[in-house]
Amino acid sequence: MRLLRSDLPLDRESAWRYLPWILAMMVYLAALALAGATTVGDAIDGWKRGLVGQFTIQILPVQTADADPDAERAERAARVQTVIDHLKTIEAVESVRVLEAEATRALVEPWLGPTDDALDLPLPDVVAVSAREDGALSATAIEERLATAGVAIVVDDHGRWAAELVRFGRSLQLLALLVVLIVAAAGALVVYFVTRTGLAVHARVIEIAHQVGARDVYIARQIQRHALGLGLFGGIIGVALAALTWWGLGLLVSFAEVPFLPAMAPDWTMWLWYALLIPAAGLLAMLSARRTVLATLRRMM
Amino acid sequence: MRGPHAILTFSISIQIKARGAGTLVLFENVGLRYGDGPEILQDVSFELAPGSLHFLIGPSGSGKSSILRLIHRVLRPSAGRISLFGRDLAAIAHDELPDMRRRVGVVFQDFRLIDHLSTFDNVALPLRVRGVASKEVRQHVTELLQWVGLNDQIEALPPTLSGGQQQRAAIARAVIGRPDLLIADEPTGNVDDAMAVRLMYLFEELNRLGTTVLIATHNEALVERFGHSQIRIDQSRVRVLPGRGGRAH
Repeated sequence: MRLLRSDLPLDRESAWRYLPWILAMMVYLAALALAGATTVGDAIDGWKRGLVGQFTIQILPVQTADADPDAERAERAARVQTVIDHLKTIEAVESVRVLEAEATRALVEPWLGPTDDALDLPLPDVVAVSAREDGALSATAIEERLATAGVAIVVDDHGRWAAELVRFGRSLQLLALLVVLIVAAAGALVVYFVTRTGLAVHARVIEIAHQVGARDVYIARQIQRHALGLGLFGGIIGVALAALTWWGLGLLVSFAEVPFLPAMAPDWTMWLWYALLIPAAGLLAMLSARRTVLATLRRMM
Repeated sequence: MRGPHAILTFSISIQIKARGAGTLVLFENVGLRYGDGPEILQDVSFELAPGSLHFLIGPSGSGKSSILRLIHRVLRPSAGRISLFGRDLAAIAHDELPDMRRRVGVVFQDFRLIDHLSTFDNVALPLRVRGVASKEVRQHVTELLQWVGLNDQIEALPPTLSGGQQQRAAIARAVIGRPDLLIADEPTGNVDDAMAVRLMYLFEELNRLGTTVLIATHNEALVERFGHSQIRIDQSRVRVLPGRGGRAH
């Protein structure tokens, strides 16, 4: 005797036979979208850690004609020291670091090419400032404090860049979520049509069951159980394929050395999503089938 | 072999037995037509008392099957009112229909067995839809199949059964739930005389246990032999003739 007997021969019906593979494709897409959202989330965290609370202060060079280079160097050093002294009076500042001239040249090299003294390009002195994690430091606060120093400066707030990136990342995450919702809706719709087909194919059996006193839920239970099994199977196949794809992508990214791209190795969050996707696919198929059966039978009778 | 009485005295705990005084089936000026076609039934009125046994007699196409289908609410009348167990059939909600149908056993003229289910599973269906435990299902179905002579066909699929065997399986399915009302459409149409008599004994035994029985047939010999009350349909109208035994209403 079968463990789960059914009065409807659903396993012999072609529409139901293809359902797990269609669901597998949908779960595959949903899994990739979720993996993308998780990776973007990790990237956002990284961007935040790297950029928020980081400021760069450019101390603009003062050009004087026929100035003595030694005197000019001493004057620049004095201006830098003044700025550092003022910065240290700000409570929210954790650390201050003066960038070496070489480091400053390296920063502009991608845009201006190799620079040297012969080019006579006045490069600013650059001071990097890190804020305390709990401190509220802003570019305006720095500018206000340095206004009394009598030094021409420009303050760059790296957090401003981070905010843009985070906004972009959040948009990508929302898009991924939307993809998951659309895929879920499409999956539910496919189950709806397959269930409707099944009800039409087995109309006679269902009619006989009704005539001997079967409630709609008796019939729904058999179909929803079948749909649950197929949904779980489709979920396992889809998630397995998605995990393989993501692993392959991670491998490609690790070879490519593209800046700003996060590591694409699946972490525990992604495995958790994947683990949840399998029962979610089963539940979606089951609930969609149940709802379709109950609504259709109520209309039929 | 155990007798029909032993077979039919099993109890099904979930079944609601509401036998008592009053009318079990009541037709009041019922008319029936399909679409814009002619009236198949005109102004039909009769009633079945609880515990009665009736033959429903009439020539082919006279509307016997239609009356049974009206009782089972497979069809709805185009005029008049039908009551079953004291309830107006038209007023029974979708959710109440299964409970109503569980109290009615039906033997369809075309048997309506489910082809991919074994004889056992077909007969077990009315118990399973009630949620009866598997052990109980097995016991009752096996006993009943033995009594209708299908104990060697338990795992057979209906298409492999003869017409008579299918009919017996259909009857077993109709009576397995100990219905309050049994309606049978030509239940002896495909069996030999000996089996027809045996099936009639089964119906009588059910009737003795309190089930109201309505048998549509054109087998006048059988009607004459058993002598129960008759509902005769003639030219869309109905006459009720009392039986010899006086048991029928």
